[in-house]
Amino acid sequence: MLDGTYRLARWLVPRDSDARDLVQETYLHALEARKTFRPGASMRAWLCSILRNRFVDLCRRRGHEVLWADGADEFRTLETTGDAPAGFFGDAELARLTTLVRGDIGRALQALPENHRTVVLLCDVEHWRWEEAAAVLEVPIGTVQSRLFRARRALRRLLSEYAPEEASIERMR
Amino acid sequence: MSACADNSFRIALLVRGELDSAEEALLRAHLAGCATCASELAAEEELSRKLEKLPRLMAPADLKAQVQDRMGVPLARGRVLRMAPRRLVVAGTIVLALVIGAAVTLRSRFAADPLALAAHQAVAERRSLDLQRDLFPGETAGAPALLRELAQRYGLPATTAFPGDAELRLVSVRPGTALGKVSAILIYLDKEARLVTLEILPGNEVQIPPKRTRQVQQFRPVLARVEQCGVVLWKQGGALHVLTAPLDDQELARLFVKVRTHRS
Repeated sequence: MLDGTYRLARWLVPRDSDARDLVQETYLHALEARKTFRPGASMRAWLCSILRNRFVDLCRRRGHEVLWADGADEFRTLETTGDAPAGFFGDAELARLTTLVRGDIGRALQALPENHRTVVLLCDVEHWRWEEAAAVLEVPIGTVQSRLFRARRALRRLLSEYAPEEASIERMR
Repeated sequence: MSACADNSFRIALLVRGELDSAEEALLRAHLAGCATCASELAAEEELSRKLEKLPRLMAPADLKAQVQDRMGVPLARGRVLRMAPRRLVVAGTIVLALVIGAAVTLRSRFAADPLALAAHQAVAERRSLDLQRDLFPGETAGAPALLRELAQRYGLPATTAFPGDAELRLVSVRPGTALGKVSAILIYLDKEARLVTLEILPGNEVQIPPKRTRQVQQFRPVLARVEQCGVVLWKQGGALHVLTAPLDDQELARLFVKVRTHRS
């Protein structure tokens, strides 16, 4: 269970130390908020839901505004401060290394709005059930399905945009 | 290129294997004659293949240890005593989920011997439970209800387990994980306040080699010793039972008979 929580954290925040902080905060918060857990519900979905909410809090604490985009249920995190970031966004070298490790698909996934990225991770990478993803995203199952559909469309579009870049890099080698 | 408007979503479901056979047959018939939709299917399948290739990171061992340590602090405090039984299930689940990391390490060491693995896991869990024993007096009343809830939720034949007696008092029940399966852990205290645990997990595929068992009255359990703790393993009702207690072999055998037959 901790592995899945950690993986989601690593996709939300590229820096490992931030992901670790997020996971630790999540488990401590889970212990504090244990009365909100319904017996019989998915424990991992409950934990990831907490993690996601902590991520939004973290963004706000570090001066990153959480903006709603593409309708009421989509949001991106954007850096709003002009100074060099102390937090986890804007680290160009880290972003470059992350991209190298994860390849095009990772780069495309990272470029998605948070809601789209999370739904792809939960449903298509972790293979969670619809209802578990719905619990994390706090939306109905139908919304999860339609969001996943749109996210996959966006991923394919991004991958097709990257393809010519990759081809030109290959030619230069 | 986009698929026929009505089919895009169905193609996505087909790739996920979530269409029923009738819908799938209809869609496949359409795909055979529609290049646009066939191309859509190929693109979706290609995307799924790429997603499957993403690295699956594991949480570092030191992070697991850190989380476990930090989780242990509030659990050791008296305020948890006020938790309702169901909430204890949650707290117990969280803490025990963190023990999974240790279990994975043990599994790699004892991959070829599930009995040795189960014994080591049970003793490791017992050690963790021993640290929380100040919680147990507050849980005693709710233990039977917790046991029923756990047994129902995970289909464990645990409700017929030894319910405790004057010598061995059932003080708590927790969900656990052993051999990669969800288990029920019954926690008892004996007259000398020693912790005794009985872990029950699905065990149909676990084989007990006859040469490793010992005759104890008419039963043949496996007796083992892990870190000075006695462990008894046996199959009963399709479940693997793992009893741990800090007792010598003779006392352990007597305890096994009591727990196995419910004879005080």
